[in-house]
Amino acid sequence: MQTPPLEPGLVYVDQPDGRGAVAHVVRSAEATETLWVDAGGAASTYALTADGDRHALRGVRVARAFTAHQHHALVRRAVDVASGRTDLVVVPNVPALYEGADGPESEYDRLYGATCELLETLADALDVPVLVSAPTASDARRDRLHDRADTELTCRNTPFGYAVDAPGHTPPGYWRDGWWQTTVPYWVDVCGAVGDPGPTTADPVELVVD
Amino acid sequence: MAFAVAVTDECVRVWSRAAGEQASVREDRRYTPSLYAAAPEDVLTTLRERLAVDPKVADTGFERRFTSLRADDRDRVLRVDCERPDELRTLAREVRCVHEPDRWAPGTVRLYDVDLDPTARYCLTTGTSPVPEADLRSLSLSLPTAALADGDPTELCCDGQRLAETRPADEGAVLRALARRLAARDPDVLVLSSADLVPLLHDWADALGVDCHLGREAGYRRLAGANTYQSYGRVGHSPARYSVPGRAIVDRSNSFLWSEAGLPGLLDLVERSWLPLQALSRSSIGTVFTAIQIREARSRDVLVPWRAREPEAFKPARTLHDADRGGFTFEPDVGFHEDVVEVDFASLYPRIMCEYNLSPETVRCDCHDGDDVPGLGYSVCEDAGFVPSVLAPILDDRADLKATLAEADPDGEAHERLAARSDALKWILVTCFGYQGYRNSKFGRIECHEAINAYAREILLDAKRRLEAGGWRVLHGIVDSLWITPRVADPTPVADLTAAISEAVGIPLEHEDDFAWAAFVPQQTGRGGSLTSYVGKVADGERFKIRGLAARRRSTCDFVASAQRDLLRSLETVTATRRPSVTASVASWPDWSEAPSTPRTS
Repeated sequence: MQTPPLEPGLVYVDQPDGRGAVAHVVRSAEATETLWVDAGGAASTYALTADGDRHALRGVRVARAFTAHQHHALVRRAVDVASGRTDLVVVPNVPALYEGADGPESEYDRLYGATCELLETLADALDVPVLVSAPTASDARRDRLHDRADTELTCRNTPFGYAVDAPGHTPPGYWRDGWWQTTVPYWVDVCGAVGDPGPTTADPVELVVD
Repeated sequence: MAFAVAVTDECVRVWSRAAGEQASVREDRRYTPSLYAAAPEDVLTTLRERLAVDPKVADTGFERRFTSLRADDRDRVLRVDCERPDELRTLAREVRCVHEPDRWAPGTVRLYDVDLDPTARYCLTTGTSPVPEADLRSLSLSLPTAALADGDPTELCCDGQRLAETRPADEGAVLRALARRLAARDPDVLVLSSADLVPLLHDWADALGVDCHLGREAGYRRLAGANTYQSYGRVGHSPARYSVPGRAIVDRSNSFLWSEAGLPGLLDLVERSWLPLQALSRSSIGTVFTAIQIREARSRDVLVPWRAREPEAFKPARTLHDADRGGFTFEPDVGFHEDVVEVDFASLYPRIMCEYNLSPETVRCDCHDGDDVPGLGYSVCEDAGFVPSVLAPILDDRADLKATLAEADPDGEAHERLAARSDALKWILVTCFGYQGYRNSKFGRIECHEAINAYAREILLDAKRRLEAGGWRVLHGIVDSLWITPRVADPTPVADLTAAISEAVGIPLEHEDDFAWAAFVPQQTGRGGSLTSYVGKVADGERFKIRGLAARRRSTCDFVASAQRDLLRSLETVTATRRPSVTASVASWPDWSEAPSTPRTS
């Protein structure tokens, strides 16, 4: 309900910050088996278990990279590690370790390009959604990743947590410790809007306003 | 047995001196440093053909070497000998940025032995020991910072004494006096307040026509320019580096190890790392630890990777949840406590690595499938680990040094020398754990870092259980230290308990301090105790042990620090007038946000 359904392919997550937006999407996705190639410390298990439920970690396998070469090696390795049950791959902060790396810029630029290409290939080969993000990248590196994406999710910060929008999808509600905070689009969907020819649900509901 | 090694494009010059003799120099003009490349066989063959026509390359050949600590078999690798030492890194960059992009995917060619210190590489490759044969003679030169900035050498001091006899002084007279001192002492080591003295004195001598040079021969070389860097949020300055013929330079402004361990400590580390004295003096502790590891790796025929590229293995997020945490820290019992004992595990983390054989290649090895690491289920190989091989001699030697120190005359020269060596080793032991998780560590591995922490947590909890069973109450604990107070009228003596725990764990638990009182303070937010802030009044003296309070922090101005220390001294009177029941009520306040920002003591 909170996030749009994820389609196979490279899915670019536009984050409002470098923190838990990707973890939020992963939690909502409820995948059977998730492979997480981490960079920049995004794989916070505390973000994944935001409500203290360790079950949220079930089926998630993580490997962290701390250098650009390690990151590239992990993306390459993900193809071999993925099983038939893998239905989600998560690669947040893709450019993080390539930016300002200690070495020739051209070497890391080339490595980054190869990683982006591998991610696209990975999505095709596994036929699953591959979530990527670039919250702290230079425009050039962000664009290189973004341009390859099949779809884009936009995360916004709201007083009720992250809202995830996608073309044709607006979150109908936010889960809040045992209850739902609904949104205006949800009620529009249920009841219709003033001036609309009619509600979209099978049984119209009449709104009475004093 | 050299004390100074200079690697230039023309030759390597090795300076040595036997006891009672003059220094002598040996030139090696045939030395060609080597880097190594690993890749699929066809890639190596093509790469060799391409490099063979490069004028920077002296020779190439195939060898069999281990390319990883975890490797069971040697790989066939391409050795590339470089004509000129200075061009080795250029050659490596060209392989990475020119040859590889032309034909192969990024990361196809893996390079080794690229970024070693040139002088250490020479010593390791040729078996030239950089450990001096004779006791080294040193001469200290210093110039006030303002005079150095003004380019004025007239205030130059030699071994703490001003060289000029008059004021204002004459530059030429200062340089002639310096030349006489250098000739009389003929030092092997120059200890300079700043390496910038080298070009300053050289230029003045040149301008005035005075025959004064800092080296055993005329001239100097600039090894690197100055630069500014950022590290852990702080901006630092790295001064330019110079060398002079026949003498090792120690730049005091750029030598943490000199300030901590002096010449005896530096020489101890030279022997372990085979970094020649000058290179070692300007190295960070991490660099020295890496150099010691590289020496061990060479003895195992393992090449040194240029870039850390071996990633961690995929693991269940639940394992990561359990593993990705540090040492154990208890919630402190906030308030004022009397009769407190501090016990510490000695060198806990390095000893854990040795005791449990934790090393990048032993943790989650391919040959065992055990459940060895507590709480994480990682297996640990039984083969002798790489890191324990490096650390065990350091731990043993430091224990011996401390034992000898305890017997030595505290005012004697031997005591000072032993203490300096002990301090040098202490810093290596302090650093070794962090390097297991450091991203640029040549031989680090995050799983090893996690395993060490897992053992440390288990050990501290085990110690807590045993101390409580012995009639003590744990007031606080941080990673390797516990603060305890009697829970019953006649608890088991601390010495008996520490002995039993040391025996059970295999790591010495030492009785660190007895405090007449100790106070664990609340956080500034008022929520719970500050985990790393406390003060204790040592039982048999005037000394306070302060950690984490404003008076201890570098960011605190002198006035505030002094006021806080005065306040702490005033607490002495409290022990004579306090009412224990009132102290107890402080600890029982339900909400620290309503309490004063510091604990009441009476």
